[in-house]
Amino acid sequence: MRNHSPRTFWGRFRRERLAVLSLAFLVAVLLICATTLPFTWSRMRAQNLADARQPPTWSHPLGTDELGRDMLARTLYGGAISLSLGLLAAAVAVAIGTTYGAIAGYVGGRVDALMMRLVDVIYALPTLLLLMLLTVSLGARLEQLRWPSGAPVLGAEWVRFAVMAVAIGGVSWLTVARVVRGQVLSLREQPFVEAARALGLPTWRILWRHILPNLAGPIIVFATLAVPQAILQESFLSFLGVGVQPPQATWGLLASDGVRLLNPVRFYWWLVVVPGLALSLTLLALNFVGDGLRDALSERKGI
Amino acid sequence: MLLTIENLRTVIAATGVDGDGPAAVVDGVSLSLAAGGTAALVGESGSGKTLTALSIMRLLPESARLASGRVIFEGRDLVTATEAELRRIRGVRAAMIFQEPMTSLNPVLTVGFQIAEPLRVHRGMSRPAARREAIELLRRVGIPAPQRRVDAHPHELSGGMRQRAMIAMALACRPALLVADEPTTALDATVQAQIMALLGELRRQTGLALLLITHDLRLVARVADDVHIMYAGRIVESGPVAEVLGAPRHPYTAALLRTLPGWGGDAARGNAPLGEPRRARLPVIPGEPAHAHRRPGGCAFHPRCEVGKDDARCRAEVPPVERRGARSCACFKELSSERVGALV
Repeated sequence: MRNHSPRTFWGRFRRERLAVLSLAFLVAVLLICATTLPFTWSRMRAQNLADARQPPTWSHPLGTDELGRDMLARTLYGGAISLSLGLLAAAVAVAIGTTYGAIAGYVGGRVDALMMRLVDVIYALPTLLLLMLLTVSLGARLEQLRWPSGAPVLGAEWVRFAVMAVAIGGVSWLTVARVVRGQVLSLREQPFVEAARALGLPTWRILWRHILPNLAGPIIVFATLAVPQAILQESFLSFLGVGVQPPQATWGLLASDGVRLLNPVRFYWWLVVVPGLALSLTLLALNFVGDGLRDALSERKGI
Repeated sequence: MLLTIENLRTVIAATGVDGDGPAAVVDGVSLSLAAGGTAALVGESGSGKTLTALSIMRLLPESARLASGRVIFEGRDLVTATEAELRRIRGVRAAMIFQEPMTSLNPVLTVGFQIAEPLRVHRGMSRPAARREAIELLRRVGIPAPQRRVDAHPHELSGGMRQRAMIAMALACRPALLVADEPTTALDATVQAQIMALLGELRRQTGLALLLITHDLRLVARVADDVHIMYAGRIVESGPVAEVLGAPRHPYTAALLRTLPGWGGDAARGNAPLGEPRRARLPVIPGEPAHAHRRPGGCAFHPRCEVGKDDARCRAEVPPVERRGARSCACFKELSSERVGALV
């Protein structure tokens, strides 16, 4: 019976070859970037102007940038930052969106109408503009934040990182809110919710312990698809110069540096191709995994 | 009395589709239930019996509203109780089980979690203690291998077992009242009997009072002490089961009884031995139950009533509830026993 759909979720997911392959690739990328972090941390900052703009050689397998910094170290380090920024932003988006959508859907009525109209309004605003506004306003404030001893709470390069994650999460929760709200709206009419109310369970408990677990599937799918989107948005903003600030490095920033050095005389291809390829392959893999998860989850709902 | 309902009126909001105004789906219901007793609320679909149950628990959907009346439970009026007070009553002193054991359990949570939850919330039990109690409850409701089933998800259980799990959930905190809304309607006949036997046994063991909502008069005859017959939002007849079902006074009760195969005058209906075709058709009550928005004037049952169909008073006036001893009836043309004989 080849057409028979496996019963368990993982059984179905395993049949999505591309998704499984992508997941393996992502795990590998994540592991490599994370485990090499102690080495790349200082190496990616080490300048050597004598070695600037070297094409790939044995001592610098992926070449060097305009300040002679090792591109391998920078790419690995940038990967760690890009991925963690993507994960953080997705987590922020899921947290805000789920809470907001669940409350709107469960309370219903006028509260729901008001909350969702607000979502519509934010949806209508240009995301990029909103992001720039958020980064600029939040960034300035965070940079001035001091411990009582006078030391800054976050170093300048980490302020940008945190602000980017929060800002991107802060504009991409709208979709989660809509999805969660719609699902909660239909789930709260389910007899098991009535049964839970008949047991005298508090409302928040019904919402978090009874309704939200039923939404794990769509939320996981959204989170998976939100990560590449966040990474892409970060890259784009860094590319425009309003994202993460040097000496911090992300794939987007590396690519932007590479593109800046494009000129008709000499082509430093490794400066564009390396971060670009790393970024594209990772985003592609994340999207494949998200699609695979969605297919594996939606099959259960079909016949 | 454990539970006394006085003049309960529940109104549903206007429906947008046909432009109907608000309508009373529960219209002046009064009944009482003693501790440890069993009362049955009987009626056709749409007669308001489920909404009566939901009104008692204050679990009405948004479209419905308690308009007036009192629900005195353990000396407290639930109609005026706050949501916080209700949460300390629901699942603790009064519990409810539903018709659909398939959908009344959360598909993504284990049975054990769902049974343990009221214990953890209301009794403040620790997770392991609540789990032990859940296993014990599963054993008490007759689920085999409770140690294993406690970690099962609802889809791994049969319909009968799910209803047993629902009962375990409802009875976890040992309530004094269980409102059972058609608890066996969705189950096989054999499983129905098992579930009712289980409820009876639990009742004897714990002194639980049962308000059974059903349309199954045979079930009522087997398990209930008192029966309340509901039609179009009103209780038209009530009293001890043996008396009401043995000698109905309201033409609607009599008509309901006549629709049951093998009840009373079987010979007259030509009840043939097995294997031979029945000669006569089972009688039906002509017409349809009165829609809440289009209730006939006067006695709501008069258009379908054999006795009062053409009576001017039945058409014009709503018959008041006449109380006589343990029984009461709301009809201008109450049946005497000779007339019942003629009808059956």
